Amino acid sequence: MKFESQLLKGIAPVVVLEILSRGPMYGYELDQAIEQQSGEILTLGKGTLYPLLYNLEAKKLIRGKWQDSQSGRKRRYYSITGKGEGELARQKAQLKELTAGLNLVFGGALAPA
Amino acid sequence: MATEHDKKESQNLPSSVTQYLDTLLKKMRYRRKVREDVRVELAAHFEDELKGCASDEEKRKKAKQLITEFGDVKLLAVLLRRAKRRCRPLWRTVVARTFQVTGILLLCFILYAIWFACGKPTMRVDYVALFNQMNQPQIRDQDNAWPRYEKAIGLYVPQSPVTKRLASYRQGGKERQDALWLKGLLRGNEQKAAEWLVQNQKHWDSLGPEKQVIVQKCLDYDWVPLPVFAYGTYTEWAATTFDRMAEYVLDCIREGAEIGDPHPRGALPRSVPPGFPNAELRSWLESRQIPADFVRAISVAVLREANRRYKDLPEDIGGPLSDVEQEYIGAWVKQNDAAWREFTAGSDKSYCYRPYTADPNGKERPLWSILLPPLSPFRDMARLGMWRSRIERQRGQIQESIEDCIAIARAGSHWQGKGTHVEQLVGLAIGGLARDEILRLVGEQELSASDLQNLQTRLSQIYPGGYPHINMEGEKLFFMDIVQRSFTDGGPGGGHLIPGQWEELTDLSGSYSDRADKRHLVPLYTALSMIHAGRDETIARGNELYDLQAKMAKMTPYRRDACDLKMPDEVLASIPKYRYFLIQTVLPASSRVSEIAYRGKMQHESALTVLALKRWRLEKDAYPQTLDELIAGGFLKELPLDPYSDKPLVYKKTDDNFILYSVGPNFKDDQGQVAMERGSQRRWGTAETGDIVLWPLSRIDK
Repeated sequence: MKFESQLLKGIAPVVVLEILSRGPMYGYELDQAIEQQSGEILTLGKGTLYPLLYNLEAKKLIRGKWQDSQSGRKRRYYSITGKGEGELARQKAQLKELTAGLNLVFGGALAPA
Repeated sequence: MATEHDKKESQNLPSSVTQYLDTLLKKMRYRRKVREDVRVELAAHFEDELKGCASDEEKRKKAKQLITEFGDVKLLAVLLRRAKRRCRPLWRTVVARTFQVTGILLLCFILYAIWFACGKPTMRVDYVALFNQMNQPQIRDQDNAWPRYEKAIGLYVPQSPVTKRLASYRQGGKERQDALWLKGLLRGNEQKAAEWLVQNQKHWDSLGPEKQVIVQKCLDYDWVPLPVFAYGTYTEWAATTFDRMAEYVLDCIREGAEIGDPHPRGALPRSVPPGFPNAELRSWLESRQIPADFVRAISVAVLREANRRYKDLPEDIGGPLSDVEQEYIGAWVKQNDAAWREFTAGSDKSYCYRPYTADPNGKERPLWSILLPPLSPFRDMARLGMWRSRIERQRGQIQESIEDCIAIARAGSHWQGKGTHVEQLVGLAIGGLARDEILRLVGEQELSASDLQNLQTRLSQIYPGGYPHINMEGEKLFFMDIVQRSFTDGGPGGGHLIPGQWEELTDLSGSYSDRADKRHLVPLYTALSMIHAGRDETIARGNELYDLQAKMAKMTPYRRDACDLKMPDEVLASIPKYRYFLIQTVLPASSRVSEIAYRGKMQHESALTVLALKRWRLEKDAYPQTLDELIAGGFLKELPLDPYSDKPLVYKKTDDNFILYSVGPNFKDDQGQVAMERGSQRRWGTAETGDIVLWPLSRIDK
């Protein structure tokens, strides 16, 4: 299932922060992780991923660092910062409230089965 | 950041990916290092995505799909650039913004400078026509003196070099001092010189009549030809002046020394006036016709001529004419009879108006290139009148002498109170010449009461509207015309000074130089123009100064000094030079000019007073105790004003004469002591010492 891009745009930073909060990853890994961990429901366009990473880095929510991978190739690993964790917590709380609100509106129809 | 391994891996990517990345990074337009990092990161992403493809064909297909997923290359490049820019540290952003702002400002400045430098003036007012309108009187053509003056100038025969030199000995200054020194040498060595002439006459005689005429011609031009001896023969001509040669010959005679080769002053002038025998002298060289004793021969001619010129030179400027003066100056006066008739006919007219025309050779015909009347020959004609008057006096033709003096005075008045400063100053100088001559006439001759009254009446009628102040209106128009031609019209400050006009302005200020050399100065001129005040501000400041000048012109030097007002010259000196360069360049030294006008007025009134005093003496056998008696007796209408005290001129009766003087520019009464400067008398005084003595002439005609 593909989401409306505007809807995804709003939650994409939270999703990226959440995935990175579980450990550092490079771009491709992150892209794969989002797909896999969302059960292929959430997919970020490739053209959206890297600008998003750079923007989060600019906001100092994540940190990029070049490292050698196992294949010997240099990769830029992204990890969440303290500031990013704070932001993630805030965003998650908001999402929770949003979900609760939506559940009330939709009479519990949005709650997981 | 990309390692060799990375590069090798990147080479395995399909060409469509490489091209995509190349285009993306090119369009990203950001720092190379950042772009390289992005390339490595994205290339790694592609590699990871394509890793599982079994064949090249599959790889190509997958790559195509990935490229589609990455989306529009241009949009992605923009997004990446923006995101990377946000990652930039603050200091880098500040530096980048600073460079950007500086660049923009520089670009704006360059565009502004180009616009500034390309400014063009707008001609709205024909100031030449306005100037003519200002000066054109409402009179009939037959009352205009100019056509007669023009005719007189056309008929005027200039002085020969010797006449000019002889005349100059009567004008004071260094030339007169040198002439009197030679006269002293001639008188002191009279006997020895006579004997030397007898002994050396043979050398002169041996030249022969033809060469004697040529030599005499050279002396008439005030040059003494000296042959240069080299390689056993005469090879070239050198020259010295007549006075230096005469002094050299007299020194040799006085000291009993042999006449050798005097030190020449320089080469014989090649651009000589018509009539100078250059060709003849050259032919002597070519045909080797210069005798060995040529210098002694020419020394005889010089000594004889020196005797003629200087031996009877009067000690005082106003003394009777010597024979040689009568011979040369008298002949010149006679040659100019017709010119003088026209001049006097012109001087009888009520007004002199000559339309000003712009120089037809001038590109834009500005007011500053208007053609002034030929003032130099006009002034020479006034001097002709002065000599004429003297010669007539010596012949006993007193009435004619009086008429000539009046003619000069009237001609001078025609140039006063209007027109340009130059014309007004020439008018003042001619008027001064006339009144000096009238005073000499009165001093030398015992005029009858009727002659004195006639002279006084006619002199007083010269300025029916009162003695004119210096008129500043013409100069103000010059200023306005220069502003019109030097500034753009409109825009910030009403317009700006056009950089190209600096050449004209520096020429006006007297800094002449080769125009070709000034091209490299264009940036400097542009910068100076940017510093210069705008059109409105320049006009406002100029008007302020010209109005101040006009106000000052109506104040005597004494009042100016007493009221402690700043002179326009002082105001000008206190304002920034380059901000008001145009005003600094064109504003005349008005305080000096208007002071000269006040001196002219004083001279005029003093001449009337002297005539009244002479009349009083004829009637009462003695001079009055005070000038007030002249007023009370109806001999004089008003007391002569001293512009340096704002009181009447100082009058003191002496044994059989009187002294009439102004306290002079130091505003102090020095009891009639003539100002001295470097051991010489200064008739007009200086700021530090002395009075301006107007009578008796014996005090000043030294």
